[in-house]
Amino acid sequence: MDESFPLEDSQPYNEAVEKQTLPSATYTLQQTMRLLDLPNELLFQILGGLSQRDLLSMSYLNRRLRSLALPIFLAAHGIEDPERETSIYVIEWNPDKVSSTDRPDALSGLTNLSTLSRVEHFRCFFQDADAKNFRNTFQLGYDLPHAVSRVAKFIQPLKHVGKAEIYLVWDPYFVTRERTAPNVPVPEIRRWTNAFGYLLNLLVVRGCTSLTVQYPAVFEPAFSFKSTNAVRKAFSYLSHNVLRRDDQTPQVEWELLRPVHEEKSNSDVVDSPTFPSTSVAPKRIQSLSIHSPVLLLPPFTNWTLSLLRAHPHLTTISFAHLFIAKDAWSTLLPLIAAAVSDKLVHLSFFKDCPNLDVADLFSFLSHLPNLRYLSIDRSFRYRLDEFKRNKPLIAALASLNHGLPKLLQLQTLRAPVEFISLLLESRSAKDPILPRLKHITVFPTSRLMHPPNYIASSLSVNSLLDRISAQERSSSIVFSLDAQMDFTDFGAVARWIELFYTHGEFRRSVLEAFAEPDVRLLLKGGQAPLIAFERITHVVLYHFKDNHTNQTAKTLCLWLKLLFPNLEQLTFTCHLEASPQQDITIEAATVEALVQELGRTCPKVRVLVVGQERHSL
Amino acid sequence: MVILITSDNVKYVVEKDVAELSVLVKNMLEDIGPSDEPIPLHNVTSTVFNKVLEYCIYHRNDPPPSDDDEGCASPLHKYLASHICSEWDQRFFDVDQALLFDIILAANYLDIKTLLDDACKAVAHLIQGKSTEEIRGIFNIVNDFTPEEEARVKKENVSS
Repeated sequence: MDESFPLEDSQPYNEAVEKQTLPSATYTLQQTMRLLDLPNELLFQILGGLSQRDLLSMSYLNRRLRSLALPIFLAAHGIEDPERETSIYVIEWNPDKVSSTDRPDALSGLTNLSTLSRVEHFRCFFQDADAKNFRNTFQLGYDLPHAVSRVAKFIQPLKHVGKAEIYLVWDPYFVTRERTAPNVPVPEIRRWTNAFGYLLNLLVVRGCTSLTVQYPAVFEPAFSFKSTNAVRKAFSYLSHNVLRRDDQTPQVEWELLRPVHEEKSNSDVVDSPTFPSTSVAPKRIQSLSIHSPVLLLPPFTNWTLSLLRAHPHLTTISFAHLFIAKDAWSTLLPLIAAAVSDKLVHLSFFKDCPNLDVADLFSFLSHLPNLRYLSIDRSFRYRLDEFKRNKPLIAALASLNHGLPKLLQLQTLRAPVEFISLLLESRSAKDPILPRLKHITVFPTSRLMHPPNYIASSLSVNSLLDRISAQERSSSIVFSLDAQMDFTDFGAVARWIELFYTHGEFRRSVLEAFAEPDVRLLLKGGQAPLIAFERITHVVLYHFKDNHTNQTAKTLCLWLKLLFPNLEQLTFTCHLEASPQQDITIEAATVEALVQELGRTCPKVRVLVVGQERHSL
Repeated sequence: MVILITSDNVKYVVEKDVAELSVLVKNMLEDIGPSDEPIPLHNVTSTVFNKVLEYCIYHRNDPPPSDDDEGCASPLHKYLASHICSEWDQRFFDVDQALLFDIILAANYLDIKTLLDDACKAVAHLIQGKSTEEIRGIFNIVNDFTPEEEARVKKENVSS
């Protein structure tokens, strides 16, 4: 700073400037020059320096300022093209804090965006992606209905919503800490039911094509199913057509559980939310993702069943995050099967369905004759393995009139090895299972962390795929291995396998660890043992991050070359099912390095898929 | 020395380093080469130019603004830059709105980034923390929303 300028001096610039003509008049107020006389680019610059709260205030002033301020406001919340995709975080639930906070959420701006009439993809999170965010822990369950109503107020004026995803809460701890549901006062359960039911109906009426509700809450449900349901279940298993033939829509009955010290009273009744009348609501839903007990348990059970029954194009269902009891599953699955039976073609059981019994799963599948796609999560592996050893149960199940599921239309199957081998064992060798099958994806049978696990895994996968290939089929099957969750340190593994091939001593000690038949399998075709998933032509991984030491494109490709000699396609999903917070990207430079290294080391690989991108090699 | 003529025909003789804080003038000087030709500033009146010059002279020795200060500066730097401005700057921008907006227009035309940034910050300072109605009063902005749009906004703001 130049200290020599006296600030009070009326002519501070006399050293630097020499004025020849003094202006004829001193400054006169030009009334015309106002904020709105500035061109947009300059208004943009001014708005760019404002806080979120101030931007929002500016957007309420008039149309022009709204059209300038709102895009800046929304872009700060990651919303660039709200018509195409609107993802919002409703993290503050308390209504008083919503209107006073310095950091208004995207919803506050969106409600002012009256030009918006449709949203193709709507995602709404009621908790920050960062679970450690302290704001998350300040929210109270009491305020959730209010937060849900705010979202409904945004949806209400829209004409159309395409895909809708509602993520209520991610962190189970967050809910359980509050209180268990049986202790919630009845009026509050009603308030919640009304608010959430209204939002769900609104989405259906706005022509939503795909609905996801996710809420991995572990809490005591406030309701229990009445025993009449058990009778109906037995009934439906004996003849699953009955429920449809008499054309009555079965309603699940339940009662509210109250703490022991509280008297039951008539005011304890909580009604199911009414499903929108089928004459007003467009029947556009094609896909329903039941990733929350909220949709399955009362008071929403009947709402969900009505939706499943009423929408003729609802052909896709997925289940995840359902920590509900075994009885709840066995009550609900027959009802779901009856509601969708013939129309269901695409079914997935993703992670966290821990209490779903294998017998219930098989009965359910038997009632879905037109399934073309089936995905069963790896977490069913231990249950399936246990089930497999229970021969009397299998025999009993097979003797029922439907037996094990036939899945005659199935084209794509993604399941643990144990699931497929159960199906195989239930058929005679010349009667091929799954006659339409074109694509099988299996998971490794153990986590691929310790090298000997690779051998165990490749033995069981290979023997299964060999058995399937041995069957006579009209078309050939593509075999994939989904190692998204199993793949860890491939650098060490690749080195280990190389050692195995080069050091006789080492090889002998490893072979001694395996049983005689396994060793024979390993040594088939000669002296050199084969630790490889020979039939796998497509490997699916989650993510790749180059750490410049043992995890590099080079070690990955060596790993692929040794384990998957016939690999044709490599996929990085960059996404884990039913876990939107796990979406990631792979750097372009890493992808480039992978493409080059694949060309050098694995010349058979023709396609590399990274997230949504497809690279032909 | 550089000769500049404002739109109301007032002639200024300004030291070169001060004049070159304006990228517009700097580029013109480079284009015409060494000459005593006066440079016309069509979009700036002398009243506004007086203020601009005052700013340029005071800040003539400041380090030039870096182009990528968005990317490199730490959040703390940005915070300091946006919240702490010198007493002199505060007094400099303590003018009526019309002049402030004229300064913004002139700074934009003359391409003086620091002046433009500081003037925009001065406007932002007027808005900061005010309610919508207060801002409406300060800038005399007429509400042109339809009653329906107005209702939507009210519903969200005064939520029950």
